[in-house]
Amino acid sequence: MNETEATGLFNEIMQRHDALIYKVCYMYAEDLEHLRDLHQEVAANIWSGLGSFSGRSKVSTWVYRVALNTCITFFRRHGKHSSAERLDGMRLDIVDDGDERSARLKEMYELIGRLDRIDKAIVMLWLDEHSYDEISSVMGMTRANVASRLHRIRQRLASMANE
Amino acid sequence: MNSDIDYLKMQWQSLNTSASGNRNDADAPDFSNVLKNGAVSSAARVKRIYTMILVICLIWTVLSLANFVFPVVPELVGGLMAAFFLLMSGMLAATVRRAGMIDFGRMSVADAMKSVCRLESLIMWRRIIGIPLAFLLLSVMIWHFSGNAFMIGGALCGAAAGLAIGVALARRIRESIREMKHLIKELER
Repeated sequence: MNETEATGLFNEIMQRHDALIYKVCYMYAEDLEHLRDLHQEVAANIWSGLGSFSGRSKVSTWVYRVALNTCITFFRRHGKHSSAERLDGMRLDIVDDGDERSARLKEMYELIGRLDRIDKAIVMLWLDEHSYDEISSVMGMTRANVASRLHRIRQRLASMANE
Repeated sequence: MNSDIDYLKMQWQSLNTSASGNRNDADAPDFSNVLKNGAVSSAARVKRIYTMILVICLIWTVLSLANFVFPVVPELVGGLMAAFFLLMSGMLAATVRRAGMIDFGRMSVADAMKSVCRLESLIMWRRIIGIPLAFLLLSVMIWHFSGNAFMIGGALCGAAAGLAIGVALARRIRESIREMKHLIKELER
């Protein structure tokens, strides 16, 4: 692939999947600066990984893999700045009808945000309706492990919601 | 709970087509600039920087060894320099190789974490070993050229200070490695 083709492919992937990348980074970011760093890092990893993309999996699954690998392993070399803008005031686009359902939805997002890095990844993949086999391939776990872990996560979310 | 989950799934999947989530356009990174500014991931940056340092170390290794043929500094100093730069070159080469093996597009999350752990371990150990040795070498060089016997004590103090600095610098990396190893164990349970 020459540079022009690579640039074209990169732009196409980013345009089509930027929202997906953003929502994955959002779930792992501590503040706005961290969110930008993660997004930048994911974009850089997508660019450098273009040559190895075999096309055997869906592009969205590949992008998910790169985004999760980046977010989970990203080592924040500088600590949080006290002036860093928190993400509390920013929400993903959630339809807020002001009703009880929307409130429960926001609560669930917050609960998912409290899970550890691995559980967050599994839940996100599951919410995007990836099969157990796809989740197992992306995470590097056995299928049985994915199933039992998802079951535990759902129980934990239910008990956190009841606290 | 099940209807909540279904609704959550529907909301979550709808975000994939949302243009920019709830962020302002001013906050949205312009990904076309990622290419203009040279899209370099952390692993690629590590590889690039350490390749440069590796080349410098190799040059100094050759110059130090050449000292045995064309003496410029005392043999002891030349020998210690050669040993130091050779050791550092080996560690840097391992780091460069390890950084080059990271491919987040091919790896599973478990493999990615193991690779990053190994890379960070190499960086950490290079600091813990390299900084005190550098202080020691520097002190020996100063002692040799100043002829001052107290420099031996200074050399040892320097090495101890270097070790303390190396360990302190490695502390944050150690925390990251510890956390990732814990997550890897969780994944493999």
